[in-house]
Amino acid sequence: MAKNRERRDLFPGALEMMILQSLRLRPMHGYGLVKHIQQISGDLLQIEEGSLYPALQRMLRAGWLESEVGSSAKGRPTRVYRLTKAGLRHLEQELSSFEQMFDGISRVLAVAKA
Amino acid sequence: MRWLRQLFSRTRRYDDLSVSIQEHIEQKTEELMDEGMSRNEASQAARRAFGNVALLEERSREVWQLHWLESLWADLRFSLHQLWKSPGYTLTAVLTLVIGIGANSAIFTVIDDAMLRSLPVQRPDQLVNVGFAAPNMEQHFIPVQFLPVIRELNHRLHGVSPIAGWAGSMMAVPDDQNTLRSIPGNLVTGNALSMLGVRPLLGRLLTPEDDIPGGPEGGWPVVLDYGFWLSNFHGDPAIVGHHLRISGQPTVIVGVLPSDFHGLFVGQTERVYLPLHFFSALAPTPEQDPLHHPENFNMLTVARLEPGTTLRSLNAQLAAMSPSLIKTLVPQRIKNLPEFRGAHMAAQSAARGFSEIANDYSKPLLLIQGIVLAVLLLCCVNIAGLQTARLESRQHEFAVRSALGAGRRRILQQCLVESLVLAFLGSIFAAGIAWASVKSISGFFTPAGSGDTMQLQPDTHILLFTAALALVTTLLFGLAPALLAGRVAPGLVLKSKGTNARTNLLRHRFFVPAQFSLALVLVFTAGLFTHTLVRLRNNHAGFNPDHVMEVCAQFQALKKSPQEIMELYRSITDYLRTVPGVESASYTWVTPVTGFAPKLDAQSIEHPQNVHSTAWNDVGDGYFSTVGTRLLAGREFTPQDRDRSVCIVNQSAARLLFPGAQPLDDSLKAAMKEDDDVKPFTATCRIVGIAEDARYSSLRDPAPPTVYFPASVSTVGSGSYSNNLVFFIRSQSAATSIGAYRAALARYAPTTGYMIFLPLSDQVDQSIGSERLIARLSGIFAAVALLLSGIGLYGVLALRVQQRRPEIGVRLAVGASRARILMLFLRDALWLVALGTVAGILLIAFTSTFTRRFLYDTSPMQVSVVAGALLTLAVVAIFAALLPARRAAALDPLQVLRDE
Repeated sequence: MAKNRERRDLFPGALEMMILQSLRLRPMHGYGLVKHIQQISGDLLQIEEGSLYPALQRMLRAGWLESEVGSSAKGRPTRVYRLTKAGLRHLEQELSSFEQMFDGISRVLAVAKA
Repeated sequence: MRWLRQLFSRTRRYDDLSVSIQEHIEQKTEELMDEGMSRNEASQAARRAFGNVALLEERSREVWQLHWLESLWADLRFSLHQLWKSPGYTLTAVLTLVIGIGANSAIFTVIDDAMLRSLPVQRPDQLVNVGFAAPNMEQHFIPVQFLPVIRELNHRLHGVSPIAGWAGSMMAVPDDQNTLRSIPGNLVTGNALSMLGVRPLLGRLLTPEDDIPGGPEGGWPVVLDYGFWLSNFHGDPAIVGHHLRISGQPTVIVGVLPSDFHGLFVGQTERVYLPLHFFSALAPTPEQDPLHHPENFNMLTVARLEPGTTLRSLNAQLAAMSPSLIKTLVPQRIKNLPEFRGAHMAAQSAARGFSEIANDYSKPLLLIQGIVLAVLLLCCVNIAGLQTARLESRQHEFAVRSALGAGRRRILQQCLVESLVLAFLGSIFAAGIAWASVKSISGFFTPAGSGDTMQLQPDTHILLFTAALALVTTLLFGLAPALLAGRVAPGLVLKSKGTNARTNLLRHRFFVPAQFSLALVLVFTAGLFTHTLVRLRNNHAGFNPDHVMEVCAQFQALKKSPQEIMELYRSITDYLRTVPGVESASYTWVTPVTGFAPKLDAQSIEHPQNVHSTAWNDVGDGYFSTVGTRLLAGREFTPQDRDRSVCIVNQSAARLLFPGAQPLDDSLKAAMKEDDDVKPFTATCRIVGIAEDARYSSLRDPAPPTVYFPASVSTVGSGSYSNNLVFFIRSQSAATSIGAYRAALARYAPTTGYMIFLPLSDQVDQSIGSERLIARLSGIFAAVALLLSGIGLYGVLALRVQQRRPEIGVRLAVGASRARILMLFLRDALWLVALGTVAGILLIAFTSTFTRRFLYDTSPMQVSVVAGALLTLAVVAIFAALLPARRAAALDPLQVLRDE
């Protein structure tokens, strides 16, 4: 279990937040999520499969996601992950606290610059 | 309960997960193909990018698991499967553990019951004895008190229940053939049982209303203990209300005590409980009633501290009252005793009751516990050896597992779980064996000639102890191999199919020598104790106990004069001699080897200044031929010898009192001083015979100088229990002797009983109970140790032969003789054993300090025993080594090299 945390990039909760935010747009399958985040971030963020699947299972377990049968880009039936109401609530909480934190950090950085 | 639901929906989740991952890889493959790769290339690239699928699945699954529980459960199932697959190994390991753990549990249970456990009554911690403490007393305390003092204390003490009193007397009850049997009965104050918080199994307990002079209306009530109820009434559930004649007095059974209650005395069984005032009914004359002189009457005391009172505050109260109470209420004759000097009243905890076993056997028991711990250690070493061998053969599996990402901790855990399963399997059977064997072990504790049976009770402690041992042994035998197993270098093992060098080293350099050193110690100590026992047994005892039945007369309650009593002994003996099958019969005052050894001062007429303390005995006519002691000169006593004017001396006494002279027909003077048991007397007697030396108080002590007098009116002169001499009846069958005595009683003393029919040889055995126990058990465990070490050595060599097959093949092919191969392996084995022997000898030097005190006529480094132990070990080692060595020598080189 310890290794999982090491592999989680960025800061704790960031991967979850990005997954939840991505799934807010539409249900996606695993590979779709990887590609989506990569594209949106302009290749700045690369998600490792090694952390993606454990993270998805954690979030399923917490009840933020549900897995269901959807269709792939090529129209083939595939497992997709969909955001639940609980997931949405959690995402909003996380976002607001993230924004506060980000705000705080920006101010500190701004003062330091001046 | 969500985790529970998740626990059950997991299989579906896991399938989902695998499908998702497959789809993930599939989609990536398709995209890569769109970019122009071939299907093969694309699929490989996608997999490479994804990484270790199995590991990832595992990590993802872990999210759902109560991880430790799940992995334990998996390990447990895997272990059971593994053990099931190799029944030989499992059986060997479990049996080994059963022996090791079972032996320890059994001995621990005996120690626990005899020495550690509290009485099985309510809140035993509150119980105290109120008695006297003085520096000169044995253990500085006696738990008895005089009746008037008890009455006074019950008025004046605060914070403590009324003091209960326990006393005892022999009582006669009819046996199944309606002959009276004398049994020890407990006479107790009315509150004695209820204050202990005992709940009767049937009926009721005694009450204070029962304990009144003359007994309550409706007859004397009697409460039976469980053992008495079982053996005399076959556990009849409707026994309450039945009448029972005890020593001629009608009594009524009012209750039966539960099976775990044994009174205050650990191990005692088959007792009846009657009110204290029953003493008056038992006494043949009012003068013989102890309650007639309450000022002299003392008994064992038990009281219960009330909540809030401590032993210390009770002792403070007692200390304050002590001087005046001792001054006014303790008889002068007691105050004059040297042990009573400086005595004051005091209380002590009575939580554990009284244990004779603890007094007499604590050291032998601790020694045996040490022996069985060594056995357990040996068992652990043995199983550790087996396990390493097994783990070696599973190296490939471990290598694969660690290559697939199993951590060392995971492998360690699995190995330990397997060990734990073995240990628990073993301990289940071990607890059963321990439970069953406690009874046979307690048989060794019967005091010589007491006629009592000691009965120890296993309880739930045995299960706790066994479970704890199982855990400890798991760590002992499982940890080292498990640590080694986790250390494989997967690459090396998988590539070369090589062996784990560390486990090999450990097995060869450590396990086998360790086993043999422990086995040597055990075999050697067993040899010492057996030597001791043989020496004690073969000690020429000076009498022949075989075919002699011993039975003690119970004439204490007969209202007869000493003349009449002596006439009774003569008539009964004459009658016994007429019974067909009885070879001879006689009677004696002191029975041999019971530890009882009264002494008198003797001197010859010629050398009156040389006064010697000698043992003595009063015996009937024909005693020496009955007991099998030869007369070297002169004659036996005849029925005409009726006083102490004649005597027989043994060789030692003859040498001591008449140095260099032939004492026959000479005279000696004897003076018996005041003693608790015997009336003082002086006698001048003519020596009519010289007997060979015979052991007297115990087999350990050489025969003391002894003077024998004819049993006479003076022997039984003081009445009561001194009326009781012991009959010896020699015949080829015990039944003949017993039948003859029953018939004699019916004819001459129908109101009296017998206590026990005890073969004299059994009494001799009982007198060396601890030596027999130690020798027997250490012998058994030494045999087990030899077997285990033999198996261990065999296992190591067999594996080594297996591993070196190719080498042997080559050697044979290039011309090595088969004898050479045989020697190669034998030499190997002997090296290991030699290493163990050296370690063993060092251990022996260390243990001899503990064994020394238990030896008799045996040196702690007895050369013959050392040689014997080494020889035994060598034979076992050679035998164990020969089998695999011969197999190696018999290998067909062609076959072996072809297999390569």
